[in-house]
Amino acid sequence: MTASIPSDAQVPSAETPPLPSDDCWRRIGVAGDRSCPELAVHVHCRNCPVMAEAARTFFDRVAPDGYLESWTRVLEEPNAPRDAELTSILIFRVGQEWLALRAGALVEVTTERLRHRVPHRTGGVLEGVVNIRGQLQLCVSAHTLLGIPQVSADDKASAHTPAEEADTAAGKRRFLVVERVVDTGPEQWVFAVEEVAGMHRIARTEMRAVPSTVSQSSARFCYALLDWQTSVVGLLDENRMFDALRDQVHAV
Amino acid sequence: MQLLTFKACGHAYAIESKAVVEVLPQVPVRAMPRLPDYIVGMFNYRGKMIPVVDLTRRLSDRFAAERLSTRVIVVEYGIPEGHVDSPRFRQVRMGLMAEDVISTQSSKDADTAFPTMHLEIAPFLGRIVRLNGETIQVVIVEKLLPTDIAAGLFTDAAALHSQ
Repeated sequence: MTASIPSDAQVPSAETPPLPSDDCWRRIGVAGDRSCPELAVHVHCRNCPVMAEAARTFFDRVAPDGYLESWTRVLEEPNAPRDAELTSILIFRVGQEWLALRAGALVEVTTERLRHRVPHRTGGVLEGVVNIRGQLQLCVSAHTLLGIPQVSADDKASAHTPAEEADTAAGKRRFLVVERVVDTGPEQWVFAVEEVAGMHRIARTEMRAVPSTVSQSSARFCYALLDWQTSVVGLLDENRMFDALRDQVHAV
Repeated sequence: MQLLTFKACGHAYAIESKAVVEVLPQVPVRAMPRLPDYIVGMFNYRGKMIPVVDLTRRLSDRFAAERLSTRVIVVEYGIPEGHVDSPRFRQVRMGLMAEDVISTQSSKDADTAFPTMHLEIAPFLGRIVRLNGETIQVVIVEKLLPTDIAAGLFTDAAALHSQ
């Protein structure tokens, strides 16, 4: 009598879908020891016809009670007019500050490369010229422009924690190529950032105004702030930034 | 081009994925009396009532089974505005209930094994493609509903009202 209890417990209830007889992906597939010879062909179990067949079996059952009704309620809701309100931005880090630019202003993200100094012109915000796809572009210092302390060689040397060292060694630094089209044609600038956190789509409602009391010079170039993960991201106004770059580079 | 495949009575069919807006579970619909039985009803899709066509019924003698793999494919296509020959088109939405909506497949023009038939009794039957050993017939979404029924279900007034 007591022996029969565990075996009863094994019987799936009516709600649980019957699992396919052989869940090989858990045994020899990507969730198992990866010894399946088919992996050489399909790379991942999700591309394998065996799993497709299992999925077919899994979905070949009556929907659980209340499942379809709950969908009715979800579908009655009009879609939030999110498309019009969403903005794509690229989030990146300059020094210790997280900043973002509108994706429309971005041309490309590329690896950091050699800056060629321009004799008598380099200094201040202009760092030199760089070769971007065979075109020489002006490379500027976002740190100088925005008044963010440069991560200097000293800082690298004094990186005391292994994590900080790894940060530098991992080569997270990137060049951002940004562009704006003015009357005289497209105007491109290149600047280095410490890290790029990728493209994000944000709603206008997520943005908040920059407090007027903020005196940091980077705030001058921000038109809004955004809470992202544990950081506050400043959304850069590219026009203000480009104008300032023009003034400063031409003044050198 | 990408095809969203489904089955009706054991045979594979597909619709071109460029028309697809969303794939939903088999949601309950409100019946529409006196219409052809393949128009199983209407349901509230994002605040707008849209008709649902049972593709299994349209392509065979029985209705789609109640299964998790039976889904409603919301499609969007253009119908002439006003009269039938109008050069202006208006986008309308419709749900297509189909069985075994499990996967999509890529097809090339070269996969076409038989061209569109242009039959008056079944104008929605499109070209036949051979893909991975399977014979799949493409269903032309725009031609699933007879013109007069489409005109009644997708009136300009209904569009104005719900905008």
